Amino acid sequence: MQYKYRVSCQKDRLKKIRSFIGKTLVKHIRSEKDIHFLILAVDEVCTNLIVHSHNCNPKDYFDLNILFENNHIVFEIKDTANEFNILDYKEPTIEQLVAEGRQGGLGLNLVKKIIDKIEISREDNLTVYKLYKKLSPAAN
Amino acid sequence: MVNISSVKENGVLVLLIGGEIDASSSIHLDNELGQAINSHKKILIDCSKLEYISSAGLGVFMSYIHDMEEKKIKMVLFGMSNKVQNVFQILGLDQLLKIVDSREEAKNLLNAI
Repeated sequence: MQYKYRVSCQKDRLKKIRSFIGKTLVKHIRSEKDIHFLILAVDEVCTNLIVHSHNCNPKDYFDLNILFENNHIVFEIKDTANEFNILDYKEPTIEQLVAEGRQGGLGLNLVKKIIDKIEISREDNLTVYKLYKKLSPAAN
Repeated sequence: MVNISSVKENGVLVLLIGGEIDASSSIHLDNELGQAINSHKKILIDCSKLEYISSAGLGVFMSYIHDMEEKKIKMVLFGMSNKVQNVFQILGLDQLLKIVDSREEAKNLLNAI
C-alpha cells in the first residue's frame, strides 16, 4: 500500500506534511509514540530538504511517498534537487552545540536515532531518499 | 503555529508556550526566550499547551544553555506531555535542562538551584 503527497518547499507546509504522515500512519500503527517519532523523523528530513536543498523556494517541490512493505514502513522522498548527503553528514555532539550556542545540528541526529536505515540513490534525474523503519508486532 | 505569552509572578517570568514549534515557528520562541534571558534571572517555562516540538525548538533551548550558565540565570520547564518530553529525552536534553512535571515542583526547584 502506498500513500503520496507532493510537498511545496516552504517551511509553513511542515504542519501539513506532519498531518499527512499522521493520518496515514494511524491506519497502520497503534502506538502513538511510534507514530509521533516517525512524524518527527520525516519532518526533520523534509525541513533539511526545504531549507538546504531548496532554499525555501515555493516554486520547488518534492514527492513524499509512504509505503508499507511486509513488516517495514518506507518513507520515500523523490527530489529534483541534488543530493543532500544525510549519510555522510557528521552531526556535532550535543556538547559541541551547547558550547557554541548553536541552534542547528540536532535534526539529523534525531533522524538517525529513530530510523533504522537510510538509502540515497539517483533515479530518472531525481534524488531518492528511502527511510526504513521496522514495525514491531506490538506497534501494528 | 506557536503561541507564547508571559506573566510575571513574584520576580519570576513565566512563559506559557502552546501549539507547535517547528522550523517555521522556532524564531518566535527564540525571540521570546532571548528577551526573557536578557531581562530576568528566574524563568519558568509552562509547556502544558505545547503539542509538538522538533529539533528547531530543541535547538533554541539548547542554544541558551551556555549563556544562562554564564549569566547565572535559572530556568525550569514543566508540564510537558509524554510526547514532548520523549523528544527532549531522545537527545539527552532532559539531562542538560531542568524539566519537572508540575508548576509546584518547578517553583520549588527554581528556588533550590
